[in-house]
Amino acid sequence: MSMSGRLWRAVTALGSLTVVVIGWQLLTAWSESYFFPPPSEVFPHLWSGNGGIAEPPYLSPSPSDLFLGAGFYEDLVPSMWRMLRGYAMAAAVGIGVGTALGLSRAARQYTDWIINFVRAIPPPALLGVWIVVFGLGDGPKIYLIAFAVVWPILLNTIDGVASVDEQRKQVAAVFKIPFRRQLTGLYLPSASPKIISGMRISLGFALIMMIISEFAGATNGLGFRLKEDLSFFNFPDLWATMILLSAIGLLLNGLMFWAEARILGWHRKASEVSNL
Amino acid sequence: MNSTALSVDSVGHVYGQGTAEQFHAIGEVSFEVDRGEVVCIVGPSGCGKSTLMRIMAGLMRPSNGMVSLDGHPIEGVPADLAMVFQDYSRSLFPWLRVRPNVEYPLRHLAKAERAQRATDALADVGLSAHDRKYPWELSGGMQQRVALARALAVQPRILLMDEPFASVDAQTRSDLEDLVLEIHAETGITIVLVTHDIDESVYLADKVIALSAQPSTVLETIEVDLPRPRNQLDTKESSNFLHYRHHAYELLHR
Repeated sequence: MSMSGRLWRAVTALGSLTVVVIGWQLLTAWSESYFFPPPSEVFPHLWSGNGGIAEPPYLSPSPSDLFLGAGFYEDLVPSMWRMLRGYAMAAAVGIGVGTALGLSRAARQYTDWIINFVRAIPPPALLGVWIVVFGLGDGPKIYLIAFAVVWPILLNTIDGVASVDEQRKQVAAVFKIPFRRQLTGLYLPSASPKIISGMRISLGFALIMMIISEFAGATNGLGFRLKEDLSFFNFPDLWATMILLSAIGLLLNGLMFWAEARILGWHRKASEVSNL
Repeated sequence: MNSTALSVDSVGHVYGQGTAEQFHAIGEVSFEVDRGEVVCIVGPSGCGKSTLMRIMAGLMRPSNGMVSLDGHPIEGVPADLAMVFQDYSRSLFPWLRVRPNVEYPLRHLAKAERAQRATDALADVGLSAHDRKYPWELSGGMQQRVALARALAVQPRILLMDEPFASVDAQTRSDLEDLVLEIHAETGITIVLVTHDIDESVYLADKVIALSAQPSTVLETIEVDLPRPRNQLDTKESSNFLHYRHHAYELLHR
């Protein structure tokens, strides 16, 4: 995209965002509902504690704090750390097990129904069980996130590895490539578009599961704060956390987009000239 | 010179033996390829040529008979063998650039040796300037040159080519045929090439194996006595070439 194209897109995005915030302000100021405070009241809660029952703010007006408030360290970081570990665990298990199953038709036939059976369990239903099994620490939350988000990665990896082109397998056989190098040099790169598309689906899902996992048995974290704010009728802080969550979602999406462009640049461009 | 490199001895193949979809691909095929020879296997579409090629490469076992290379029966892909596949877009790795594609089978070698071999092979096929490109940035003919370079870089003693020029245009095709002849003249490598094009088989080969439709058998082994070096004009206009072409055509269209 050209420079002016990018600039124009930024201008239009900023413009529509401004319109939405102004509309939000007008609507909420007009309604006077306690549950929908106007953004002029919500946004300051991101950087200043308003005393009373207010939560520690995520940001700080002070440069000496690097503009980061207590809420950043006490809630945001623990939440993201849980999410990251759960996601990493899901990726490791999903790609590892998925590759093994993708390589063996027999293993796929034996496990297909098990995967579909276990996958059908709505993950939040397991939260209570997880807490009983793993206790109250970070463990149950991480496992819950991992359990919930592993499926798109697992299924896409199985599909990707199982559908490696027959002729490319013959190439590897003719040139006597050792099995381990076939894995790293043929099966995983060939399956990478599907694996990464599974990882993208899982990332958005991990954010949701992170919040849900902190609704029970947590003493900090963004999900914990949402629950507390709701029970104390602290709506400005509740909305401030939601604004933060949408910003995190945007950021994660951007990171994923960047990683995808780097890892799958060949795939996008090759798909443009031919169907692989 | 004339010792046997590859020997195909009474090879037959049936897919799905004993099932309802049983398919008799190869009846009984025997022939020999001498060291340093170019042998073309020509036959109608679906005559089991590709099956035969996979058997010679050690990628699959025949139902009957056996293939031996340098006197040793082939069980699994033999050392010193390389292959060029028909569909270059599915044989090259689109996630690697041209040079790493060529180096991919060479990982067991030291880095300098690997680089040198890739450089030489790419020079042999005239692609030195394109080694930083991705295969899909190249034309079909150039991609098949990359596949040829990848095969040459392993320095095989026998090169199998499975309808290597079937997916490129006529102009590119004759260029690639001449490239194969050039490489053969330089290296003396043994080449077995499968094609359905009679002209191509006569132009390239010392020996043409004409196969029948499936279940295929050898109709005739034609010794092609045309002088080398050959070229697209003189060779193809010579009365001997036309004689061989005529004969092969009659055999295959009977």
